[in-house]
Amino acid sequence: MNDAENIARVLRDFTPTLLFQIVAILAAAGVLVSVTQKVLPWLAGRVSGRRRIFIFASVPVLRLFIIVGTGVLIVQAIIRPSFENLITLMGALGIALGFAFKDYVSSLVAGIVTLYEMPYRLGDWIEIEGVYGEVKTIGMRAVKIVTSDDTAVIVPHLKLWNNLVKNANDGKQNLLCIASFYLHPRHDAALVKRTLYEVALTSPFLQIQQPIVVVVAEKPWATHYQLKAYPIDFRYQFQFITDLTIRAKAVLTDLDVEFAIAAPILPGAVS
Amino acid sequence: MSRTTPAEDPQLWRYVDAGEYVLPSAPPSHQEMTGLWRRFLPQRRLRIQASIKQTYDLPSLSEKVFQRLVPLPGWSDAVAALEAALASYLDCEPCETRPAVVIGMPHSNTAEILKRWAEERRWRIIEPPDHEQILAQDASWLTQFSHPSTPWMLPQLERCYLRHPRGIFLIQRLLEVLANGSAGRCVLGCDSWAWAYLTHLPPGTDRLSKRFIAQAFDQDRLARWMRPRYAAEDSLVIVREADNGQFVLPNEDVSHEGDGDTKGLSNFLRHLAAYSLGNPFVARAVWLRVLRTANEMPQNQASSIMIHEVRTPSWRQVILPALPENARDYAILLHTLLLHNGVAADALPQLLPLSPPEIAQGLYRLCDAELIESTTSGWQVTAAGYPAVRKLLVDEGYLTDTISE
Repeated sequence: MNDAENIARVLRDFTPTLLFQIVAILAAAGVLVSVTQKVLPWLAGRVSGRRRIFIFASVPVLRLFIIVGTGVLIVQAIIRPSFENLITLMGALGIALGFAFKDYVSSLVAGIVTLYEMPYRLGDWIEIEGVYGEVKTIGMRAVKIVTSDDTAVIVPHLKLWNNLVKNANDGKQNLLCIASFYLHPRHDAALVKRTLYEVALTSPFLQIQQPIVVVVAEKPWATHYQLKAYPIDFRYQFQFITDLTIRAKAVLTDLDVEFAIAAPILPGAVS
Repeated sequence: MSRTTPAEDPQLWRYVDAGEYVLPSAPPSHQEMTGLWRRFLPQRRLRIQASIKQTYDLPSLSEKVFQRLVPLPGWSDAVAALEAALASYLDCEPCETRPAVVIGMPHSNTAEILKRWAEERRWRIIEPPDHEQILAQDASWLTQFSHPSTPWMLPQLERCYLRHPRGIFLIQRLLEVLANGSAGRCVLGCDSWAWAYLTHLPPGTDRLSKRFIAQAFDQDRLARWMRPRYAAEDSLVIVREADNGQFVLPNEDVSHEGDGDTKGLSNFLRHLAAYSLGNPFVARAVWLRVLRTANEMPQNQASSIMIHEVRTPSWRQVILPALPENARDYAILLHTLLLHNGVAADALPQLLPLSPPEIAQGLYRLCDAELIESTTSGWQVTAAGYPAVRKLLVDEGYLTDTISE
């Protein structure tokens, strides 16, 4: 009984008029959402360029306003307007929002942590969950990285808590690049190692004041060479690897060094 | 009237150890800032623009007149200075068997000076290998360096390599021979950019002997070097700044005290010395761009001397070769040209990760911006454009010569 009294104190009396009011609000909201979702895209199809993108972007925003406005109107209609009722309502809302925005707040806190720990900075090339790109913006909640395919990836800062963040250049201009070569095992390894070193030494992109290292490892199917060197600027990392690969292939071919070719995996051949 | 010329001044050229090179400094920066805020005042800006237009509307000196007024000095004083610097190396007992290296900035004419020095001493002058020999790794070129019977001089070490996997074999073998002392008495000339690269190339250059460089030309030396010759017995050449009348070159026949619109000596040459990094030939190239002939003034009534007045803009009004908008895209091309002190167009595709059309596009853009030019040695960075190109490469993080730092 106590609960029923409490509820009766909070809510208005459910009269047919009130019911009709709620249904009307909902119907109007439905119509508005429907119109927004049909008319605006039609309008966007009639324009081009930035205006088109702007109109498309405004559809979910308008829908949100309509839904929030509908909620406010309905709440206003069914809740008795008193200070206590307002506190009760806000408390319930707070709990609901707290659960809903748990991850958002976690990202905000992680964003603050990044300011003094600096796991990444603007211009760094980082890898998170297999996505490798340049940090373009660091917001309060998320970091935007742009991959080499010019794809923007938004990564919430909360990934920092439980994921490895690999930073290739860590705020510096130097970034180690690795060009890999797989050669048929029958060749003069010392000659190839020296040749690859000279390929790096004569690259126009080379940062000559950083070391050049050639690592050789024997695999069952090939001899794996890793040519490790630094480009002048991390912007040139992909061009540098391309240059090393092309020129090394040309020189190794002139030396009659055979490249390993991986055998194709036939369907059903997996053991 | 004094008739001395820079060529007769024995102290003008001086060769020093590479570590003693001193860059000329620009005038204090606060003067630039003071001038900078004034330029934003509308009236001042209009006056400056009008002054620039006025100065550059005057006819420029033709190459012929310029050569007559500011001829290239004879090489004798430079050769004498080089001889004085190398004397300690050449006259030592027991004889030093590792080579002395004379390093020169681009457009410093170090090779020319070395050749004349070698001719005076009757030393053998070694020609560098051609591109085909370098890329073919033709070891027969190296046989002339094994226990030679006479002293020899190689004027351009930068022409003995190409930055290509097959292009460094000869220079590396040569450096090994030079380091172990079996090449006999020799002197090498090398461009400063190539030298910076070669120090990183195994076996390196640490075991080579003394390194010399011509000391930088500061404003005083530039003033003496570019002192104009007189057209005739009865003529006098005065060089002044156009907007304020200040004398650019000191002239003992003319008072530099302020009288009317003259305000003594300007700091133009100090700016020029700093901009050209102490390289007199770079300074001369800029000098040619800025000199303008004013009308001949009437005869000086006190004597029968004809006065020729030559004007320059003030330093902040000098129009110098500027980098194009997307200069960063061509930095790699410019760097290659400097590393080799000029590259033939047909060799560039082997040295650059660019296609021939891309290279051609870059060459034309840079040529239009007066940053490079086609010479007998191939495409080269221009003398007047060299400081701007160097600054671009420093800003972009490329390997640069350490001499001019």
